[in-house]
Amino acid sequence: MSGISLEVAAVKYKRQSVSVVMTHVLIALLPGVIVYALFIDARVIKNIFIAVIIAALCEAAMLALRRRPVITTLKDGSIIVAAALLALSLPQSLPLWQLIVGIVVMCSLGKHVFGGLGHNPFNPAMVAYAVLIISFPQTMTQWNTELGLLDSAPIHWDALTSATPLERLDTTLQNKLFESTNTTSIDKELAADVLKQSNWTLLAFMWLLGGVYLLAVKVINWRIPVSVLATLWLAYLAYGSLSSSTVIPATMALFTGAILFGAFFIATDPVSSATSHPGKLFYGVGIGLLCFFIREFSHYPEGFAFAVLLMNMCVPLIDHTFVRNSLRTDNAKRDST
Amino acid sequence: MAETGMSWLSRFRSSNNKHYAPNRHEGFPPIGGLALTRNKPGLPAPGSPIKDICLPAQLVFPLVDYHKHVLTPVVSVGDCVVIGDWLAPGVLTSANGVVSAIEDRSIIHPSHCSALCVVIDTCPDTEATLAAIQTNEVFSSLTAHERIRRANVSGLGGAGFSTANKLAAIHSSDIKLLLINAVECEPMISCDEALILSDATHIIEAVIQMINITRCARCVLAIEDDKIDAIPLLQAAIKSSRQSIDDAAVNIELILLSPIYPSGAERVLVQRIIGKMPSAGIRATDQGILCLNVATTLAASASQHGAPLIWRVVSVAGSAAAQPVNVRVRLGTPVSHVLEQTGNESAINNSGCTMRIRAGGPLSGFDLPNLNVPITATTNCITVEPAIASEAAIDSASACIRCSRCSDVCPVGLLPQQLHWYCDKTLTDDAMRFGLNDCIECGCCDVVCPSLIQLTASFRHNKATLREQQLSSQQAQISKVRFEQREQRLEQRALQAQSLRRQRAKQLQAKTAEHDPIAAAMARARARRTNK
Ligand code: SF4
Ligand code: SF4
Repeated sequence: MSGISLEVAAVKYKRQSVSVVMTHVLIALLPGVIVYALFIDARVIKNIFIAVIIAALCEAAMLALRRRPVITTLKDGSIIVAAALLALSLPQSLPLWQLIVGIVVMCSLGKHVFGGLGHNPFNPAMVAYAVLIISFPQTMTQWNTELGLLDSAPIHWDALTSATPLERLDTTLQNKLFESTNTTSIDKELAADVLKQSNWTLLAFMWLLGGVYLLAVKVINWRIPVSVLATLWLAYLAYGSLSSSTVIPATMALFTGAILFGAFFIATDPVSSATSHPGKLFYGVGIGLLCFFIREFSHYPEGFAFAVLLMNMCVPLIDHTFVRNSLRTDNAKRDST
Repeated sequence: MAETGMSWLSRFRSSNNKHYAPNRHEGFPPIGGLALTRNKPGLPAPGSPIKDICLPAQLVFPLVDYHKHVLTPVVSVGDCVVIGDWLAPGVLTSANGVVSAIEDRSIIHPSHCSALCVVIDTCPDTEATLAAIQTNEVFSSLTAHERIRRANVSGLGGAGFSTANKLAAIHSSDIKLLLINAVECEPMISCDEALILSDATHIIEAVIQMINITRCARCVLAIEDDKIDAIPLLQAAIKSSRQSIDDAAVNIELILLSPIYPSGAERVLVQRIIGKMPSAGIRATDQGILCLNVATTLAASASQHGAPLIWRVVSVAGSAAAQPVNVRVRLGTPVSHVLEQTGNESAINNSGCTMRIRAGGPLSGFDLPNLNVPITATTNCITVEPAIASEAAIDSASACIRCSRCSDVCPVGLLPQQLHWYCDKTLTDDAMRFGLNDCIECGCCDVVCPSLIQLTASFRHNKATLREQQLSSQQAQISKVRFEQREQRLEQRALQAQSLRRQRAKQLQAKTAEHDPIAAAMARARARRTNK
């Protein structure tokens, strides 16, 4: 059978090959990584570098074991993206051997046991993340304390994302800031706090920027990130108005933790997410809700990984339910006859 | 301030909907498809005349119908035929001549298969033929539908469905919409445009004639809005037809569509005109929509004067074509003859090495390994392209990453990635459930797939296999019924024979009981003894 090659067929269309798609994702990650390295933790560069190299080796080994073409498959770049995403999701203080365990889990359990690229039902990076957080809870949660966001109040380790302390922090910061401007004597410690928090917000904006880039170059579809973010926002809004205690402001919730990063880079993984348009919306809403519940009512600060994994499980069902209109009427007809 | 804001908003809206607002006669937005840019050098120049291709020495007519059923020839080798004679049910000869062979020849088909063909050695046309048909008494008593069937008009768009059958599938009082399709099948094809440019008035007359025949409630003529030369001609022709005919019932709506491939496909066109995709397995005719290509409309109109469908316009296009041009070709003409006559001899010699010759456009067409295949009613384009530089780049399909680009562009709303999965695993039932049979083989999914998977080829192949399976199972069913009937007959006959035998035996017995020679002899003997 003859293939279609539009370059020679006198009709022009810009096709994105898998490697181009992956390059776009890497480009989109770039501003975030730069901000991360410059203002938060320079170790991120080293970690990404190590993660990518180990992942490539691991992938090559897996492919060789499965007797698949190694070089051509490696060239599509999907493993680089997955390794980078995993490295960014993990605390930068994580011991090296734990990072390596994560990478190996990602390649093997996350991807190749199911048949390699395109066949994995779960997001490989999130599989690795879940394995790590359950196996090494201490090192995995260190980054929250390391943030230094809560220097003065060393409390529960999910402080970064759990609502109340953050809210308190926020208001105290504002008050102090207010006072300080009043007195014109700037508290150095406070300034550092503000700076740190604003760095994280800046990072969140960088992820948003990357996401917008991905949307612009049509690598991802708006449905998943928008539904994830909208659901989370509404959930926090509703929660805030329902509960009497002070809760993190809804908009603020989106800029904390790794919500924007997850919504744009993790949840949109094409392989493990829903395919049909309404299915994507449903998938995103599911992730948003699960993430909200896990973050607010459980021990895991990063509810995102578990939310994504849980929704990954539902994808076949979602795809089955939300086939497009024409198909649905067909099925309805078939069922009724 | 508020007002400027609003006007800004409304401007934004209107510019957004410019192409799509249905009340502006611009159709509905497509649910998929591709906005492709046409490469001008590969296209015949708009307005260039349609070139007539001379009659070749031999014409070949494949004996297969729309469903690829093999037809039985009604002529035999050595027969003389004249234009309009049936060669088989549904196949007309397009020239006078002598049947020189009935044999297997390769035909234009994506699977490069061959089929039984009638080969005709042609002789020059005579004026008398058409007149003979027209003055024929039988012809003048035919109804419009019968004339269309007699002229063997079939879809000249791409599917090649018999127009008479299409008309028969839909009760004439139920025709809600007559949809005249002037949207090209593919961006590289311009045969419909060439027809309109050459004679728009004629086309509008033909449309009006079809309106009268079908007595439809509404008639729409759809064309892409970038056919800037053709649109004014059509508009003028419609206007003048209104003035001259003065018939309130005749109202041809001209709908301009944004050029999204493949709006020329029937399902997609119907969706863009009525705003709703026909459900899976439902044809346009089932909804009371009669969709005819402009060329088909012309042919149907000509059939009313007895002219059989013997030619069609074919685009010879492509970046490697010597001179892109639209040609009028007798059906049955070998592709090589058309290429010769259009100055593409070098392409013939280099076909397969430096040139690729394709039937159909760049997207839904396929390569022709053999150039002696005959043009049929469905051959709308011959593309001459340089061979693909790196064959390897095309072959290196990788795994599907489920990016759903294919389902985003699928113009009929299928999920090609799902179909691909099922076809790969030969789960044909599931593939059917996901609408494999509704795939119009447009090739959009291939174009966007980042993994370079050849989705359309696989769907085409699977559809064909499925059809064959269905056909053979149908045939098996038929022969099973036949076998059972035969068994039954034999049994009955056996039973009859048995009962007959029994009857005869009984009769014989009765007869022998009446006059048994032995008993008589014994009686005689007894009598003699007693006498003694
Ligand atoms: S476009 Fe290709 S890779 Fe993407 S979902 Fe469709 S078949 Fe898979
Ligand atoms: S070839 Fe079939 S599946 Fe692919 S886009 Fe066209 S109609 Fe959809």
